[in-house]
Order: sequence, then C-alpha cells, then structure tokens
Amino acid sequence: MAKAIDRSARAPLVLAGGALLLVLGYLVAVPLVMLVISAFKPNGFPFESGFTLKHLVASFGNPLLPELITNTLLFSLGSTALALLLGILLAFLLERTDLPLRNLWRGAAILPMAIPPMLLAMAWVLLLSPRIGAINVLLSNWFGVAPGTFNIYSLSGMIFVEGMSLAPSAYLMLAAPVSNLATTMEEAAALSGAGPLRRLRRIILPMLLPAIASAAIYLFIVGLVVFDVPGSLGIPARIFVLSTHIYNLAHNPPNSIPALGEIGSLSFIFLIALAALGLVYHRMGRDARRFVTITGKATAPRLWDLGIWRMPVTVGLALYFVLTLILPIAILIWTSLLPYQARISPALVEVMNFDNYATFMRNSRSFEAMKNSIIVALVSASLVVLLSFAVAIYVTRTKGPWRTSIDLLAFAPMAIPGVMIGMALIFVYLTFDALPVYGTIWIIVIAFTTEYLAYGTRSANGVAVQVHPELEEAGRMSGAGAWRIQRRILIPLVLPAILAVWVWVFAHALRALSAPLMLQGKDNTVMVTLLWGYWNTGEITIAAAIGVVLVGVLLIATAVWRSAASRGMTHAH
Amino acid sequence: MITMNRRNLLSTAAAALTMMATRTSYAADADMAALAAKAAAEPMAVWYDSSRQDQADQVIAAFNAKYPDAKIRQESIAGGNGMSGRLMQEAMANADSADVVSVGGGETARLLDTDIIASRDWSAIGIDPKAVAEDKAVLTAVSIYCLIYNKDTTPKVPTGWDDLVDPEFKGNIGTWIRAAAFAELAATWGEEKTTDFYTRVLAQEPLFYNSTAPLAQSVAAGEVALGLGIYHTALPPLEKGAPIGLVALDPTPISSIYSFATQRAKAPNTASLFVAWLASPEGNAAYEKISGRGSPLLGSTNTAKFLEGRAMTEWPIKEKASYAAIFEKYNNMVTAKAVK
Repeated sequence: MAKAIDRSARAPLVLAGGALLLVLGYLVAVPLVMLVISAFKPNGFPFESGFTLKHLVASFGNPLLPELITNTLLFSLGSTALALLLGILLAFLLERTDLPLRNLWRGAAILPMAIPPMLLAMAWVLLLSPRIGAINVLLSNWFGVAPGTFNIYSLSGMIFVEGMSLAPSAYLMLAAPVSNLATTMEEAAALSGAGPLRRLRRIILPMLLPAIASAAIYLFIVGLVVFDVPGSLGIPARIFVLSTHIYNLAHNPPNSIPALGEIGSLSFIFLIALAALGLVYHRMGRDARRFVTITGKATAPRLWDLGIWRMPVTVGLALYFVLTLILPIAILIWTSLLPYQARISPALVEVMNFDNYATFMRNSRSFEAMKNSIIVALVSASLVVLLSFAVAIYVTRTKGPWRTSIDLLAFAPMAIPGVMIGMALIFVYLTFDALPVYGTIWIIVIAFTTEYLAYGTRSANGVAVQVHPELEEAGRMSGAGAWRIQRRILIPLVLPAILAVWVWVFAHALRALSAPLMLQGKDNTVMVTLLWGYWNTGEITIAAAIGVVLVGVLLIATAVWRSAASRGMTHAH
Repeated sequence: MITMNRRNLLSTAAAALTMMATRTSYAADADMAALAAKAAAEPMAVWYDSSRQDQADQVIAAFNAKYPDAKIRQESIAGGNGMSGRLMQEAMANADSADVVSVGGGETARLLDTDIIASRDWSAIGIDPKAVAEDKAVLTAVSIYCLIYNKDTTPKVPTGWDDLVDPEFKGNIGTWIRAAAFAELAATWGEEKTTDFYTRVLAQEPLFYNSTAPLAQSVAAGEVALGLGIYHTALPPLEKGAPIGLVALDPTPISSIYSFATQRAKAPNTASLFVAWLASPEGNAAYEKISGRGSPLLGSTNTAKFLEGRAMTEWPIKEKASYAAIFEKYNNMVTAKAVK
C-alpha cells in the first residue's frame, strides 16, 4: 500500500520532470549539440559532410590562448567582484534599511540596464577617455590633475565599466533573498550581544550563501562570454579576451565565412567552466535546508535603522547613481541632440536640436520596430519567468528525477556564444517547417528565452531554497492540493523575485543585439536592430536617440514593476 | 608572393578602371524591358543586402518607379561574412533563400567556389564585361578607404600614407581592427613593403575600432586626430557639419561590392533585372544616395568623382586567397601584442 502511494505520488513528478527535460532539451540541447558538432565539421556547419580536428588543433594550439585566458579570467573575476560588492550593498541598503525614497532608488538601480551596451561604452568613453573624457578634462582643469589620468581603455577600465553594468543584475538577483531574510536569528544574536558586523558575518552572509553563490557564478560566466565592454574598451588598446577573439572569428575571418568550427571549439572552455561551477553550486546546495530563511514563524522583515548614517549613506548612494545612471544617460541624451558625436562643450548647445528624434519617427519601420520590441520583451520575460520558476521549484523543492540534469541544462545556455545560438536556430527552423517562425519575431523570442533561462533559474533557485517546507506542509495538512499550495503559498512568497526576473529579462530583451541581428528577416525588425542600422551607417547620434527611447520604455516598465512588487509584498505579508 | 608583373597588371587594371569612369556601362533599355516583362510574372524576389531597411525601401521604391510590375523586398543581413554564412546554411538545408545578393568581394570570391551564384550572360543585357566577375557577379559599388582628420585637433593637415607613421600623430591615430585596407594595399606595394609599413603604423600606438562608423565619429569628437577609415561612414558627420576633413590616399584601397542572382532563385528574371538596374546609372545613383557607395565604373557617381585620376588598389577577385592570407597575417600582428 505504502509503495502504491509512493508510486502515485511520484508519477506527477516524473511527468513534470519529463516535461521540463523535453522543453529544455528543445530549447537548450539542440543548440548545444550543434555547438559541439560544429567543432568537428570542415566549415563549422553542423549538417555538412566530413569530419575534422583542425578547429580543435587551431584553437588550442593558438599561442595567444594562455594570454587570452589570463586576460579573460582577470576581467571576469574583477568585474564579478565589483558587481557583487555593489549588488550586495544595494540589496541591503534598498531592501533592509530605512533609507528614504527606497522605491525611487530601486527603480534607479535597474535603469542602466536599458542602455544598449554599445551606447553605454560610448558614454563612458566620453566621460573617461584620456583625451576627451569629460571627467578627465574637468579634473585637469579644476584640480590640475595630469591629463588622461583615468584611461578607460585599460583592463581596469574594462573591469570598472563591466562591474558597474553588471551591478543592477547582481542587485536584482540578491534583492529578493535579502528582503526574505528571517529576522528571528538576527534578533537572537543581537540579544546575545553580537554586534552588527558579527551578525553580518556569522548569520546573514551564511544564510545568503546560495543566493550570493548563484549570483557570483552567473556574473563570472557573463564576464567570460560578454563582448560589448571588452569590444569597445579592450580592442582599442589591443587588450583581447576570449569573447573578442570569438567576435573576430565570427566577423573578421580570413575566409569570408564565420569561423564557426573554431568558435565551437573555444566554447568548450566556457562549457567546462560552466559545468565545473554548476557542480560546485550543486554540492553546496545539497544541504539546502541550511539556507531556509522564510518559515511559518517569520514576520515581516524589520528594517535596520541607519541612524546617524542615514545622510552619509544617502549621499553615497546618490553619488553612485550619478556615476552609473545620471551621467551615462545625460551623455546619451546629449549625444542624441547633436548632429554628430562630440566631446562635451558648452559651445555645442547652439547646434542642439531634435532632428535625430524626428528622423527616427519618420522612419517607416519605427512603429513596427517599437511594437515588435515590446511584444518580444513581454513574451520573452513571461516565458523565462514561467520556465525558471518551474525549474527552480522542481529542482530545489521536490525529489523528482533528473534534477541535476534539468538544472545544468537550464544553466548551459550561458556558455553558448550568441552567434552559435543564432546559427543553431537558423538551422533548426530552416529545416523544421512545422513551426514557421523563421524571419518572424517568434524566433527571437525563442532565442531570448533560451539565452536568459540561465539568469532566471539562478535567481529563482536562490529564492526557492529560502522557503521552509513547513509552509507547504501546513498547506497540505489543510487539504490544499499541490497546485493550490504553489499558487497560494509559494508563489506569493517568491513574487518579488519573479517580478525581478521578469523586469531583468524585459530590459535585456529590449536592448540585446546579437540574436535579433543574426535572426533578422522580413518581419522581425526590432528597435535595437534599427539602432544598429543607424550605428553601422555612421548615424551614431540617431542611434543615441533610439537609446533614449529604449530607456524611456524601460522607465515605464520599471514603474509597473515597482508598483506590482509593492502590491505583491503587501499581499504576501 | 607578389610579383612585379602582377603589380604592373594591377596598375594597368587600375588605370583602366579610371579610364572607364568616363564611360557608361548600363544595360540596354530594350533588353531590360524584355527582362521586366518576364519578371512581372514572377513571385516576390528577396534581396540580401546589408543596408538599413528604411534605406533599402528607398532603393526598391526607385526600382519600382521604373519597373512597377517587378516585385522585390530586401532582407537586411548584418555583415558580409554573416551573409555568406547564411547563404551557405540555407543552401545546405535546401531552404528558401535570396534571389539576389549584394555583398563584398571577399565573400563573393568565397561563394564563387560554390554553386550558389547563377551564371548569366550579363553582356546580353548591356552590362559592361569589365564589371563582371566569372560571368556571375556584377560590380555595383565600392567602399573607399581614406584618411579622416579632425580639423580642430590635428597637428597638421595630413596628405597621405606617410602621415600614419609620422611621429607627430603618435598616439593620436585611429584605425579599424580589420586590417583590410593594408591587406588591399599589399596588392600594389607588395607584401614586404606593406608589412614593414603596417609594423610602423602599429608602433604609433593607434586606437583600434571594431567598426569604421564609430571611428569616423571618434575623429569628429576629437578622440583621435587622424583615422584610416571608410569614406561613406564619414559622410554623415561631415554632412552635418562635424569639423572633419577627408584625404584621398595614393594608391587608394577599395573593397568592391558585387551583386548577383542566385542559382536557386524563385524569381530569376527579377533578380537579373534588379542587378542590371543596380549597375545602371539610375539604379547606382539610388544605391549611392542611401549608402554613400557607388560604382567607380560609372562617371556619374560621386564615388567615381572622388576616385577620378587616382590609382586604386584591390586584390583581383581571383586572387582573394592571397588577400585572405595577408589579411590574417596583419590581424595576427594586431593581436600578437597579447603574447608579449
């Protein structure tokens, strides 16, 4: 009898696990397999005939490889450390202190994500380039600092900009776990005489370990594969990392077709790093109950009183936002009003106008692109949220089969360069007529859902392990079914995290260029491909105007997110 | 290895191109009308090209103004390499693909080795044989490399190649991460001389840009005083009043853009009609208006006027393998700093 009950309880889990494996297999395994196959094909096309090891020999026999790997590791570790530090600080300040205007700051924290990376890099060049950077010029003019003291074209400059641009992601990944921290243990420690630093070190940080590890692993892998910042700030100074090498293989190959075979071979490095980190994370997560912080006995988190630190912290935070948000967006707006890119100078105010915006509005494709962008971002964000939380609940809160495989599959897309995801999707949908998505916005949605699944599942896992099973057990004791328990107990508790993932994916789907550009067809122009078209034809100031419009769209999405999050929090508590 | 004979041959070819700039090579109207009649019965043709869609719409509108019954739409595909990769993928999958393509010389040479490009008797519809590569692809435009300088910040007005190795410009030069201009220069200067020159350029500590459009804008902003860029990417800031000047080089590296119909075209007559129209003064003017790139063979284009009387340097399409080897070598020289 007991066995029969076990079997009947296990059947839905097997079904759910099977369904997840099927979906992830379709989304992830196909490009992954193509990536591996391409490394052994003469021209790197998965379906061509022939077999070769020449790409592996060329990639791993490349004398530049050790230096490329060293640069990549330095860049990735540096930017991860900076982003994590900023993300943790932001999460605590905005979620657990009585800082004034917290909702405003929360919105501001994620707005930099809306700026397309190429425009963000342009903004930082105009701020910190040795010759024309406004900050360098001001420091030189006002304080006599040697011209060009800060050089954005350096490894430290790359780490600084990448760390800054990843900080909003780190904050979003950590905000919900920090906000969900149970206060009971903290209070007990305080009563025992433990000071704030000791409480942070001995109680809070250990409880946050899965979330911090999730974020760190995610940020580190992003640092390994990201192209925009190394491409804009490293290439000028001949500082090359693996991603810029892959870019050159894709865009500047000697034989006039992308060197897909070598790209596939080099991706093994990312896959190995990702698998190793994924396994480390899994080992750490085995004892998930250590990290439970949301229990049936929990009360609404109590905010820390900043006391006399309130003003200095507010000023520090304001300075941070001036640097990461106000200045880049101001530069973007400045550039969007100019007829051509120029250094900051009061003399140019005379030539400012709205012509770039008018040109954008006159473009016959603008309305369609805006509509497509919003649909793509909305649908991708919703799909990623659905899939990520389904994966997270299955992996962290059930004993169902194939959990490790499901989690690793959901994490794997991070190791696949965007160009390979694009190539794989082209192949799949060129040959798979049953789903006619080639050349439509839906192929972009599929690409984004695949690409952002890793972020979604890392965020969702971090939160899902925090919720004590006793809450579900209580629901079960009250006679609620599995779906009702998820809907009435778990989902409200993890709602802030769900919304955070949603807004993150929405922002990234609005600005990401690689997949839309590669998959561009007759009916799927999006804002960012329009922007790239202007950028690539020398109309950088019009591209900046489109960037400002994108920031505007995200501003609206952020307001909706904050409003929904506030309502969700109220219901949850 | 580049021989003196080939250099002579190239010089002769360059001189011939310059002379041809005064001639026209457009298709005969009667032949085009016959082609248009056949095209009218065909389905919508697809044109792969890297122009912005709104710009391509203008070209197609001009085409349809002359041939209202021919149906064509553009698919904007980023970069020549991406385009050749996609064409090969589509051919392997036997999937729908382009009817007509406009792409760079290197990619065209690569595709000429496949059965993707259709053979046409282009001269029968009035195309100048000098513009045709291997009976398949038609030269419709060129990208021109030139010096771009900032009039406000330059220490002196540049005049030619030597300025790139002038100590006065050290640390104040920008160039494309792709060493394409130098690889094309080797067709005239020879590999040894060009390699030596490029080594000296690298010693000037230039800033490298991953695209030529930001390079032109950076010169406009004063980030660098001098850039080796591409003419058409400097036109937008120049036309809007940026303080930049352009200097033609001697010899001038160019990168040809070819248009061709594909073997598997569903609308082969529309494809041929469109290619022939693009190669005509009227079509070429429409394309040059949106892209800043025109044919050097038609005296009426701004491109031909800019190049008038100048020697051009580019590897012939049959020798693109030599170009590729030198191109790779120079690109490796840029990345080699990493192993120092």
